[in-house]
Amino acid sequence: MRGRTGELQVKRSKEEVIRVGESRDGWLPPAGGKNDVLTSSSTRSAICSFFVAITFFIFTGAPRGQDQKQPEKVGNEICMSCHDMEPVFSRTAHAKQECENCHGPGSAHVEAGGDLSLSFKVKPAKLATSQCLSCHLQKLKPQTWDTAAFDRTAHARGGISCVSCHQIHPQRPNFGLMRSEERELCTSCHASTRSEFLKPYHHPVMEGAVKCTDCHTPHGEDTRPHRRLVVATEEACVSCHSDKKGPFVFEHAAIKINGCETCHQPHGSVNAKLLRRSEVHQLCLECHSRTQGVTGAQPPAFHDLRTARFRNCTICHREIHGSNASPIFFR
Amino acid sequence: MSLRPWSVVSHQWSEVVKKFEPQPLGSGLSNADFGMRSIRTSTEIRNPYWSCPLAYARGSEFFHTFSVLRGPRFVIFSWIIVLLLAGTTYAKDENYRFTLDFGYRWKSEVRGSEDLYRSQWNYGEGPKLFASDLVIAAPQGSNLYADRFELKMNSWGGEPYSTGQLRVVKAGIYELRFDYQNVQYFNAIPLFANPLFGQGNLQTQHKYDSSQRVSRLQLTLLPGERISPFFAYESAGRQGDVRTSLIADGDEFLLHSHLDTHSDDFRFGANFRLDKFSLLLEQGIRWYRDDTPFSASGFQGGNSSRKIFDRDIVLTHYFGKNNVDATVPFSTGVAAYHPFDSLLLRAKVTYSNADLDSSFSDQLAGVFFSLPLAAFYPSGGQQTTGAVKKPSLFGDFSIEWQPLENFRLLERVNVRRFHVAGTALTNSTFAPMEPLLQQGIIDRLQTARSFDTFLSLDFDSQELQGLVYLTPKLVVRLGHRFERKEIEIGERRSWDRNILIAGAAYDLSTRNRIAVDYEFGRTSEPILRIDPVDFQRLRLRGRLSPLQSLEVNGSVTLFHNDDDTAAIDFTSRNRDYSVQFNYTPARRVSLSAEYERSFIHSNILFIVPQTFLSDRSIFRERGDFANLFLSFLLARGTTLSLGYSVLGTVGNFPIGYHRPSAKLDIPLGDRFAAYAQWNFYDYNEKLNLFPQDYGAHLVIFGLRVTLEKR
Repeated sequence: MRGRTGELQVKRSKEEVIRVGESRDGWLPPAGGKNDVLTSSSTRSAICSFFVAITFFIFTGAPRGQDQKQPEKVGNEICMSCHDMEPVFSRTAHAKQECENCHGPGSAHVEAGGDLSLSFKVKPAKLATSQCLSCHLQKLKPQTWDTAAFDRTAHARGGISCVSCHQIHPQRPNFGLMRSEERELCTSCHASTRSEFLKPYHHPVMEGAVKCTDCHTPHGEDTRPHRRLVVATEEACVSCHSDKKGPFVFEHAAIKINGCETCHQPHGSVNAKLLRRSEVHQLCLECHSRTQGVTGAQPPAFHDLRTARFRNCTICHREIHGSNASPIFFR
Repeated sequence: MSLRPWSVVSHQWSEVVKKFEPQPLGSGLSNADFGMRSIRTSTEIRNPYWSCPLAYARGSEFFHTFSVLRGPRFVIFSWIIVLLLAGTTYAKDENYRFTLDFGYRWKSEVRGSEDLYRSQWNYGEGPKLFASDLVIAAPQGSNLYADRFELKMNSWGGEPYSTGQLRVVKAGIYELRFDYQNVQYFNAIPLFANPLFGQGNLQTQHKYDSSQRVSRLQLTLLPGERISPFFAYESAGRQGDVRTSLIADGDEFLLHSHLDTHSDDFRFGANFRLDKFSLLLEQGIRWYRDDTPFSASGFQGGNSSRKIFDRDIVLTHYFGKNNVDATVPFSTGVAAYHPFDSLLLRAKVTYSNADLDSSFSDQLAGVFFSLPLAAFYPSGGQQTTGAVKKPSLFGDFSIEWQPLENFRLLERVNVRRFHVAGTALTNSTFAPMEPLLQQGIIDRLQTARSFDTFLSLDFDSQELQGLVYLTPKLVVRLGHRFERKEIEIGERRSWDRNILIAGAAYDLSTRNRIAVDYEFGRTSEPILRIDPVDFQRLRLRGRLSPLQSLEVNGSVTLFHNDDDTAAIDFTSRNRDYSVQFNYTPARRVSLSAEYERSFIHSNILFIVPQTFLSDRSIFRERGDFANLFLSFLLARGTTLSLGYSVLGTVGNFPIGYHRPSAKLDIPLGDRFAAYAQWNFYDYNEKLNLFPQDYGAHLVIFGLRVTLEKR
């Protein structure tokens, strides 16, 4: 009996797994569905093997540099005997530091005749960042500019370190120790974003009117992807578009639920007003079609799409971002 | 019809007002009589949040106190301070760099649609200050007022986008930052909904010609390592002429408006730093006002030419006005605790409670037909008073723990809450009535409607990631994020989302690295029809520098989403591939090229309003973008640059867009350079019945001055 009961329980649990998958309420995708690649036995084996390998690396990875002789500090005078600093460096706050406070003890470097071991250009990003954060971690700033959250950003995870963007030893007086203009610096990696800014309708970033950091936080993130929150927990859009901020008596719920990007492509678009669709009625009706259990009201039948009047919804619903006078955004 | 100056419109309207004395709407009634007092109380009961003392300071009083420093006066005041500070930064052994780039731009006559050219670019003709930088760095302590002075100005002299940035620092004393931005926003895109569009009337019903100015000032005091208090002020305003539309019982008419919105933010706080613990506390308040009027005068036949019972629906006069006054106090606290090298705890909490009072009133005259009342009426009006509260809370907590040298754990919890509770009372008057069926019975109709609205959103997410450093330069990560969103708008709806997160990064050096991110998520059910339900997101990004003279960047981004809910059946496929080269084969030649191909494909069921039958909404866009830039160093430092960028899309809205450019830069000694630049903007719409194409040549002759002491 026990055995049978056990078999039944196993069978039942298998059925439950399938049911959960089919009902789309759970984690497992439906059997035979579009994403069942993750549940196939070969994939499961690969994932298990991956975990075993990772665990092996975690616990057997030899501490790096354990056997090497620990270098010692040699002092600034020795450093300066080979490295000429631009005078402008002495005007920065970093000049107050000893060279080896950032670069580490230099005796091995001196003995090797000046190798690249102390250069942050060849150090792993994590090590370079850690060195900077040993001082800058404590400098909290309002509106998410603090660097305490840097290590969890996509920048840190993607191998970007502080020196990727900042030039600690500037050749000439520059702004915020940035390697180049902010727009050039960001788009040198984010090439697809650069091309979006060159589309017919775009935020004027390449023109210099808006900076990437007006909307994004490269040092730390409150929301993804590096989205900046402005005062009162609102997203960055309303920092400039303050008339869209509200609150309104009659809110357009989609904006509050999913943000401005529900309808707009913020970087650039070939569609007017940075909309996601070229025709306004197409954009609106994709949400406003009565569906059981889903938010979005159905327009009444007099909205005859064959008539031009009804194909541009915002002609009548002009206060589409929210209204204090009309529940259907007329005034 | 072009926009008329506001003074003309307002004068005409004042004349109209004299002739057409509006019927008093709700005359003698105050907010209390409309029941606002009781309504506001009910709003407050629904939001039992703590409110900071500043919340009781109403915006209107404070707003006018600081009005002397608003707008241009604020800018002038700030720039006087800037110049004084720049003068005092002088020291004998300072380093400085000063660049000034100015010239004259000629614009050819725009071929095709000038409105569209202005909507997209809006570069004009005349003398311009294209850019100016000034950086002064003096040895710390060498002068009394500032050690470092940074000033950056971009695009001044009637340009569509003008900016200025300033940073002044005196080590150990203060840091001052000031940003200014002025965006001239012009938008007059012909709307296909214009009923006369088919007859060649391309006039748009919505047109904006406004300026948006934002000024930000922050002063941080630096009395020591342990504490740094700060004070900040931000002013944002939008003013300008607008053409918009009015819907009045079955027809639409054009309105003129002078946009007038403004917000002021004050913030103050302090950053406290101990050896292992940092704390930031900030308290602020925002005031927002909207005093935008709307008006129309003269006969208008409206969008619809259809007669109702043999009568035309017309508008002869209209006047309406917004009065919105909002106060938003907000408080922020950020703390970071770093007890050991291997552990970092961070928390951020922001709370705000927006409180808005609004009123809107309008009067109209003409011939209108009310379908519910089955009556014509020649005049009417509406007065609406409303109040809204929006308490909002944002919390973010994270733990970073590195238990082993090559293993790190990141845990993060994110919480967001807000409620919007609003109430409004609308009082409408139609008089005198001309009923179709009951002649003479009703002379005047006054109706009052009250609205109570409530929207709430609760969002929670929790993310756990493990990072393994397989080698010092290779890291892989795996994690899971759980998200829950719950909204209440009439009824309560929610979804749960589970997301698998994976990624790897190989960081060989600052010029050679590759990173991949992957997310695979399932959502229990959509709240909006276009919510991602069953989605995968992949991003691959790499940078390679095989030669000192060659750098290659590339990225691949994919986003796939499927939702097979019966009435939605939504499939979305977005893909983007880009590659970029920077090549300097010789000292005198450099080449930069990029190519991007993007696909957007969306297919979703929708219900056709006039038939209530299902149909498919399909949107396809394939975009190809290429950009080429060549630079040659000729004799005596002369540089010739040639550029060409082209964008072509096919799909629902195909366009062609290309921008060739050339620039000749001639140095005149060490400090001066003269240049000539040519740009051509060419835009073509391929499927539009009346394509809004344009072409415009821009030519610049400029001079660049560089003064530098290193």
